Amino acid sequence: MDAILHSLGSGFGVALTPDNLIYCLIGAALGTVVGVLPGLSPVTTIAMLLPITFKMPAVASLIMLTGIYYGAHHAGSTTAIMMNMPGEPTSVVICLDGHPMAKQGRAGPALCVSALGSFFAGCVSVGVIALFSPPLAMIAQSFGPVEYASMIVLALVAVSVITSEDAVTTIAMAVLGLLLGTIGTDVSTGLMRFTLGFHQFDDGLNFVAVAVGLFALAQITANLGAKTTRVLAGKVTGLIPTRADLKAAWGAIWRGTALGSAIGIFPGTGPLIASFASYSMERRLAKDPTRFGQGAIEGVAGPESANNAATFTHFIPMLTLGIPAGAPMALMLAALMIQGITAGPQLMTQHADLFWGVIASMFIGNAMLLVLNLPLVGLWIRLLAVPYRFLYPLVLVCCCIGVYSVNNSAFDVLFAAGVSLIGFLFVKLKCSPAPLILGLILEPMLEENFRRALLISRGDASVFVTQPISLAILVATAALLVVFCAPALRRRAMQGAEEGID
Amino acid sequence: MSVATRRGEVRKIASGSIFLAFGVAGIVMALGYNLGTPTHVGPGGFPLILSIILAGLGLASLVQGWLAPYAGGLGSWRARAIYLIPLSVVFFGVTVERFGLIPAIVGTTIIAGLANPTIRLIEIAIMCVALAAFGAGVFVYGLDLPFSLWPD
Repeated sequence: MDAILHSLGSGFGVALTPDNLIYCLIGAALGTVVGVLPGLSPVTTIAMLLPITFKMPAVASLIMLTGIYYGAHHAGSTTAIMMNMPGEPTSVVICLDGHPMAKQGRAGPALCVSALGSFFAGCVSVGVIALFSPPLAMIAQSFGPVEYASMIVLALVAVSVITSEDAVTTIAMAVLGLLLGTIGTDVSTGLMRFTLGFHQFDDGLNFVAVAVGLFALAQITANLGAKTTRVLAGKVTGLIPTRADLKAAWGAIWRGTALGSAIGIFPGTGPLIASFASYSMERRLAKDPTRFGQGAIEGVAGPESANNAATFTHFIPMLTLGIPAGAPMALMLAALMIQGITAGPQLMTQHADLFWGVIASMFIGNAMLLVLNLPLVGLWIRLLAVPYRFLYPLVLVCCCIGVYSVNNSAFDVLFAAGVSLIGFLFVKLKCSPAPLILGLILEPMLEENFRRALLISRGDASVFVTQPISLAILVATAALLVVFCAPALRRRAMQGAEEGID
Repeated sequence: MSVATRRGEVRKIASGSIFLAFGVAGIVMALGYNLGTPTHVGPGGFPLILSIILAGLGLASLVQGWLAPYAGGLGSWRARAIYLIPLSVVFFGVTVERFGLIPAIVGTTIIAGLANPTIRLIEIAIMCVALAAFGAGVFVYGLDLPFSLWPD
């Protein structure tokens, strides 16, 4: 405990330098803009801005990128409350009771409670990261290639099956990502694989180009095809909630925080599932469940806290194991790699200033977000009046400049355009690109550990099930597959989520 | 063909075919590399395993889709954005080195703007100026990225 407080103290030393404070503020403010605007996701923004962080110091770039990520999740509820449309996909649950509140003229209290809940959940869950990461990293350090390979398989399967009904498609997307990850130089022999004669693929596919093509560009195309209308509900008159509001919200906030912190740690789950779970829990606990859907304040406070708590604990697998728990984390991992830093259990010891600096900046960022979201909320609401037709050319130009800047390569820009066509096809076919991105970034790690494991066991593949830790991980993987692929069981597991949607 | 007699889920059949195609192509190409032995897995070994799994999943998806009831088509493909957005990115890639950042941004903005059927010409013009100024100001003067602004 003392050691953690001491490390955290030195982390604040890093995060409180003027430069890093400014990057934290830029990240949080950008994240808020992105979070408020529907059609612009944090993944898009991080992918777009990744290249321009190359020239920044590693700590600063990570502070800014994480700020965008949690800032967006913090602010997504504003749009949900005001327009009945999630600013981020993860704030869809907030629409259910937040928007009815706004229609009753209680938008202010709804916004206030969700900002306070987010702040509380953020602080607690960053504490969870600080507290749980060191012991987890310690355990992870004892992992050999066998355990690592199994762990990566577990993460990929979890991300695939939990996020979608259609496990065959999502697992296939993950495997496709892995296969695309084999493109380029084979590390152990130096052989060029699958490059089709393009020397630009010698170092593998450009990750930023793939991410921008699949997420940012394909999403623009899809958004332009869809018809949307935006209606602002009412005005924000007073922000201050009544005493009864606060009393009802407080319980929901801490329950949501606990639930979200726990759920967020596991790969594949994350903020969306946490907020659904919290909503159904609040409804079950309520004395009068019929209030839900008509503007119950617990239905805003609980899910919003769970959403933000999970946003932060989602970092834990990436920070301690080097295994991202979802698409935004895969991009953070890429940001680290580009800076020449290997994420994993050794991150905490070898780059202590980075690790603790980023964690300290999350506390600071949370405080900044509270100020950005409460007194300034009117500003963001006005931002909602900016039509999408002015927004997407800006995103597009930033994407082009960003992708070009990775290697100063025009080829990469053309490649991203090609990827966007496939990405749009994936949108149409309802194939989620998140497992693909994860597979793409984890492939080198998986293949290396897989080959090393077989080398150590002299070619005996049974080593994956005879080593106890690896066996446990693979049994968990199999259990996930069974639970989520058997339709009856799946329905029971996701019942909470479905109730939320109804 | 009437709707009642149609069967199969188009979405699953199409995605399954894509996975199967990638899987089969992967198998064929991986067999061209040294597969190695179980102890010393060669460069072709791991891609071969992945390709076989992918082809298997593709086939499974294809069969699932074939057996499923008809669940609607894929929606409209007529949006101009489908080709104009990628085209605008291609324009940027082709022109940025030859003509400089500002002409590339202007062209990209025009093509991208046209992807939205309700846009007005004056709006495109304003966006061209704004985005060119933004791109030059933030990325070249602010972040010092090595772009030339105009044709040399």
